[in-house]
Amino acid sequence: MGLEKYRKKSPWILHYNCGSCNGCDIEILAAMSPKYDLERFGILNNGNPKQSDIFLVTGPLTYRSRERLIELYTAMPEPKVVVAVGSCTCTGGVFSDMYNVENGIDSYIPVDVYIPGCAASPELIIDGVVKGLEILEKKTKEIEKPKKLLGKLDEKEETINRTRFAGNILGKDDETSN
Amino acid sequence: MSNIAIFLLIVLAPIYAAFFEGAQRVLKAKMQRRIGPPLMQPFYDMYKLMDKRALMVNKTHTLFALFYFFTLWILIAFIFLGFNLLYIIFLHLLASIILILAGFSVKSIFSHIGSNRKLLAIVAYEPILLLISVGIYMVYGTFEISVILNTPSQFLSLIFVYFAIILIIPAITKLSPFDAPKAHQEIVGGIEIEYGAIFYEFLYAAKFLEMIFAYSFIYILAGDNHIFGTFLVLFSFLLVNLIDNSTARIQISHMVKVILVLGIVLCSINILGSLLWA
Amino acid sequence: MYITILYIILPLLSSFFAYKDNKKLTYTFSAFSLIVLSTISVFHFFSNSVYQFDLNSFLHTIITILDLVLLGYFAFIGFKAQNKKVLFLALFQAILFLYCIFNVSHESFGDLYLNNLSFFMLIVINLVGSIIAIYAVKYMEYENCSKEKRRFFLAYLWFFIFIMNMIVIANNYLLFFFFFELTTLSSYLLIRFRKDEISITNSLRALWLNQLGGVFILFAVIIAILNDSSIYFTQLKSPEVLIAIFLAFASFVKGASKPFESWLLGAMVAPTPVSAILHSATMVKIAPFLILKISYVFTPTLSLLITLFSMGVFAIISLQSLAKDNFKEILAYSTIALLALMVSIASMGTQEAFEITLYLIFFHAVSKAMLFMIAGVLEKQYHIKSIEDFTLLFQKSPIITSLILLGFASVTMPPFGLFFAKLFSLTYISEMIKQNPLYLLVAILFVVGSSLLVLLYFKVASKLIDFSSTQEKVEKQEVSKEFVFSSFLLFFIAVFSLVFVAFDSLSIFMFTTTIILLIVVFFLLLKLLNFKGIDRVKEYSCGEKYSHNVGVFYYDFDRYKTTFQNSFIALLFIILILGLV
Repeated sequence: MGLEKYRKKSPWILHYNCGSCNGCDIEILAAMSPKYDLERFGILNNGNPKQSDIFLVTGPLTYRSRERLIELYTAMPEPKVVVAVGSCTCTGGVFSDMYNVENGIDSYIPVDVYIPGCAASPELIIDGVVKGLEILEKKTKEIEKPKKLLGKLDEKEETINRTRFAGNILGKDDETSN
Repeated sequence: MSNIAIFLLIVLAPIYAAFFEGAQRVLKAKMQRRIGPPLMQPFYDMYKLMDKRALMVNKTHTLFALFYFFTLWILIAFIFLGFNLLYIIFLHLLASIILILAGFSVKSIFSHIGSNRKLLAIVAYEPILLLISVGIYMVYGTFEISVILNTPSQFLSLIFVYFAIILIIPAITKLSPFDAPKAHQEIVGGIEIEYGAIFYEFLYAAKFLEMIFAYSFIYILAGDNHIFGTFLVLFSFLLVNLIDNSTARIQISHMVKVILVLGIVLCSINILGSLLWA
Repeated sequence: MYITILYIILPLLSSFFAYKDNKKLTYTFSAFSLIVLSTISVFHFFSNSVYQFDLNSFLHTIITILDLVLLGYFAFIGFKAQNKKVLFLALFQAILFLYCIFNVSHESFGDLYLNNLSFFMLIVINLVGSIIAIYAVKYMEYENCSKEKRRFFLAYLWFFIFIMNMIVIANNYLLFFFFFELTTLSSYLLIRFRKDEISITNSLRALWLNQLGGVFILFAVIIAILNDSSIYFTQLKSPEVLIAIFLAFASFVKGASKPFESWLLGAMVAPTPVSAILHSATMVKIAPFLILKISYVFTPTLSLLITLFSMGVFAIISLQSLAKDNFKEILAYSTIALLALMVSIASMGTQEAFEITLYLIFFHAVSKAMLFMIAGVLEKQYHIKSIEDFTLLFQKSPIITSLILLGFASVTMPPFGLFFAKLFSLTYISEMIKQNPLYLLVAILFVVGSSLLVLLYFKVASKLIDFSSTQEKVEKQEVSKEFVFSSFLLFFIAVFSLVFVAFDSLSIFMFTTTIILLIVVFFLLLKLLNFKGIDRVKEYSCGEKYSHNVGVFYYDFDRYKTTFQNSFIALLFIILILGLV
């Protein structure tokens, strides 16, 4: 159907902070302020994964936030785009190789756009989101798996089960966090 | 109004109401000195939602949302057909209860909190809606919308009822300061939280229909002076958005007290006044 | 003449066969009694017939003696249980009663009087009461008691229907008093059925509070004697306001209005058929019935005062019910509130108010009886008494949950009868505001109270449709068909009776049919539609791995309890003083 072209006219974002210093978060919020105005692209920040298309992630992935990242990522319906904002999210940034970070999110979920910068400026963020929209147009509605799930992971599973907590793919209740 | 016009008005209700919502977002943006989305934005949202992979939590939850939308549409049909005002208010109550049951039918804490706040909101604005109808009855002598719309306008004797309606429109259309039941980011939308993709579209469109319901009370106040009625609706639209942009959300317990006290006082002044100057 | 005999014989026969413990004969006679009596009542109601009979003096003497025996029995109960209030009130009533007997004038104006109001009450009593008595047979199979007591209970329910039949056709204050005291006795005996400590305490409380009602009726008789007025309802004339005030107070007691509501709340410890038949569908309906009988002599001030008082009770009781978590107690609170609404509308005294009250009485009796019977099923088969245990009920038994939801909807929502009655009441109160601005206060209390009732019911509904999270599986627990049959029957009656309301005008008809269609389509789609191929997902919990259990919200106003009680007692005195103006 010709509805793909409307995906980029009304992208709703979900903004998640994986342990960042809040610098990139402030820049994202500034991008929604009247000076830069993300809403003119129809972008809304709803805070609800079931209703979002773009997953804006900041922060190097700390251990505590791994599970939540994957939970949120699997809760979003396809088609979706992951945008890694700031150099921490891309490669670990100033926190790279520290004992409690995972050096960016792309070993856990597939990332579509990397936005460098520390902190990434609002203009860069807008450019990155617009690039993400072009990628969004081409995506299908097939379920995208995260690359790594916590807990017992059975590689033979073709798809994830959204009725369970992600990472408990075999249905066993693990102890959470760390 | 000819039958064809009424029929079109009813059937196309979600479509022109969407422009209302689009205009609201543009107005909000302009008040905040920014550009804002294009006017057709609700349509783009709808197409995008239709293009997402569908998901649902359980059957009852989804069915309740669908029926909420259709009950509201039937309510709009009854308004345009000119039914009794009290029936319309109670049918709106039925629609709200369907939405509340939808919120309760999933095991999500935000959904429950949203439903409970919506129940409290009903306790807040339902008495005022009924008293507003009684106020309209005192001046116009009837509850039937079709008769009121053909009676000579007596808006000035309903000025306090007008203020009461402005008081409760934010509660019905989920705007500040009375949007605790929806409370974006505080409870992540309340009842809307577990809806995604095409099923969220029904809730989204239902929001427009609630706007028609709320503003139709203002239109009725003007009696048979339809031009003045339209002007009043536009003016109230501006006023409500101004209030939305300049106030903060208040707690649900304060909301119940504020709406009940202010609303009862305003309506009583109007009703007693209309008796004294009858 | 002969129909009166039918109203007496058929319930007594059913009672006899229930006592004989022959199930087949009991069911046959019960069904026979239900169909015959309801049909006769409906026929006579719509043909607007009026009948009037006298009782001969021999029967009068028998009734007087039985009355004194009854009062003596109350005194004996008070003495044995060492309850001073019961003893004192019984002796006080006996003294007043003896005074009345020796000083009443002996002219007779028809001791039994059947007009359309009586026939309407007879419809409600025989239709709803008989269905509950039939339901009770199945209920008592689950009850943990001896066979003797079971037979006594089932027989007594039919005897109670006989008492109710008589009380709505009594035209003489003393005859009315006798049957009033018999209903008090029925309350006492049936509440203490289970013989545990709380039942005995609550039954004594019900006894002394209801005896207050009897005292008020005797006051009315004494005033009639002192003023040389007649003691017949049909002879009640306009200047005799004081008699009407005391009769109204008696109706406040029987209808568990504030400040007398504690007896009805305590009566919920009785077995559920008792709660259904006595304390919601038939006995407490004596309150609006009595007001309807005497409201034509109310002065405009008195009428306004009683309307205001009862509407205040409606609003305050709805407020106080928000803190409770026992299902039957919640139903009791809403019964008290709706009874107060009925008394309030009834006391306005005009023909239109009369019709609205009749709608309210009928539809409330049907809906509440249905809800109480479901409460009985929940109590016996699922062992659920508190609403906190309603979790997952929708998956254990969708039928019961749908019936409860429909029961709640039938009290507050369109297209059901009570909603129409509330609509008509609001229209009527608005008309009355034009005549007297103080009716505005009535309207305010009405709208606030009805919104609070909506909050109450749907707060309970939150627990009802509390689904399991998508990670647990629950098996269904079937409920026996006989148990829910009566509820279905009542629901069907509730919907069918809409015919009488909906045919008034085209718009009401369109309105009702659209909404009924909506509800029917909803339940059909719920059963048939499967949404195949759409992903099921779990609920959002901010990414946390915990699932949440959400409780019901409660709003506690108990700290205002004594203030409310005292203000309503004060209001009673104000009615007494100002009503004479």
